Amino acid sequence: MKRVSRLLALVFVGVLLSACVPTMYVDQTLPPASKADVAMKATPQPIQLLYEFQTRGSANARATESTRERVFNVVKDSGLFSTVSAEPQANQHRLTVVINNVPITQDAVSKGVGVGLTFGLVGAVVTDGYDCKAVLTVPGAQPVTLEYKHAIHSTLGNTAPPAGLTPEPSPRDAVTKLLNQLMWSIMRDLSKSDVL
Amino acid sequence: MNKMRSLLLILGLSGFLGACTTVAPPYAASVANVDVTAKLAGPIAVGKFEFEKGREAELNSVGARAGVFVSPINNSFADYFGDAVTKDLKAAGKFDASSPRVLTGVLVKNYLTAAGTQVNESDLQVRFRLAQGRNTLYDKLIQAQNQWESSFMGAIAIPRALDNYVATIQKLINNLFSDPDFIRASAVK
Repeated sequence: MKRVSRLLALVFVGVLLSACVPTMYVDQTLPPASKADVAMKATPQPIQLLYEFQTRGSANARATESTRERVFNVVKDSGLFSTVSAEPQANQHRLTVVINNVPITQDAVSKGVGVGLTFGLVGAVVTDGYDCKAVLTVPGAQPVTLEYKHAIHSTLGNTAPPAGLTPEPSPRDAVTKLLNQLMWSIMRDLSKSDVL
Repeated sequence: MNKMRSLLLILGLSGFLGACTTVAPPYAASVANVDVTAKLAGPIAVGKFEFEKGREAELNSVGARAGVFVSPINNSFADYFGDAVTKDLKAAGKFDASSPRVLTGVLVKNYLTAAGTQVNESDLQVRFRLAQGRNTLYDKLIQAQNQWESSFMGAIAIPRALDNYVATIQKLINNLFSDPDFIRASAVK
């Protein structure tokens, strides 16, 4: 009897925990981009890269810190610039990238609480939007401004996955995929600009 | 059964303690501030940032509900403010450690609360001084307030308070570097 009770307790805890862990799906509306889409420049120049992650328009230092490396790596790997640094460069070329996480699904917290209270029997889908703005400033030229919208859908508890989307192995994978897609889109579109 | 209780107690305690103290993330140069700072006339050195005399412990105490936030710079939020100002100046190309113009600050208000279940707020005040040798070019109290949507759940309210505290520091520095009096003072030959 004790064994059965323990087994039931384990199943109960398992169900409870599974209701708490979201499954994430990266939206497919933004056209895919990769290094193959970047047109190489004959004489790449140094660039100062300033990056900021925001939540609802307000700087989010923790998220900036945890995503900065990925953003810098894509800009370095693009081959569009000879040097990529957070410090100002002698040529005064500067690229700023701001990614703003905005709620698309309202009352996401209430939905999460509802899922938890029903131990995942009632599920929910929550969508987070990511508005990305990049500005390239080169002395003597008009700034190049690029804007993109992206999203991550998260399912909690017992609910159908978003149609046509593949679940990401972990939240970290979802964020990395989103950052890669946004940053490679920026690199692709900058490479088409005459300013560089 | 005793082992199970001990394990649960340790897990509970570690969870509780883990939620208590959080080291603030390193300040990252603000894109908005760099745009403002880049318009300043000349390079500036950053001197000492300190708390108002006699109120050091009170002003270095920052927290939200059960969470206590500590500065990653010498365990001092006065030093964190100095580091933040330095980073924004550096990113804008306006920092020079050997500049005769030296910016210092005295922290006089360092308020953060996450007690509200709907809205929380922060209020920061620093007396900034820009000096060249014995000449004071600028001496003014600059403040920044911030309000944000919060939650009754601590797991959401506490990290959100920390994020918005750092955002308030950015706002404070923006208020300083966009102050016409400071812009004039930084241009004095």
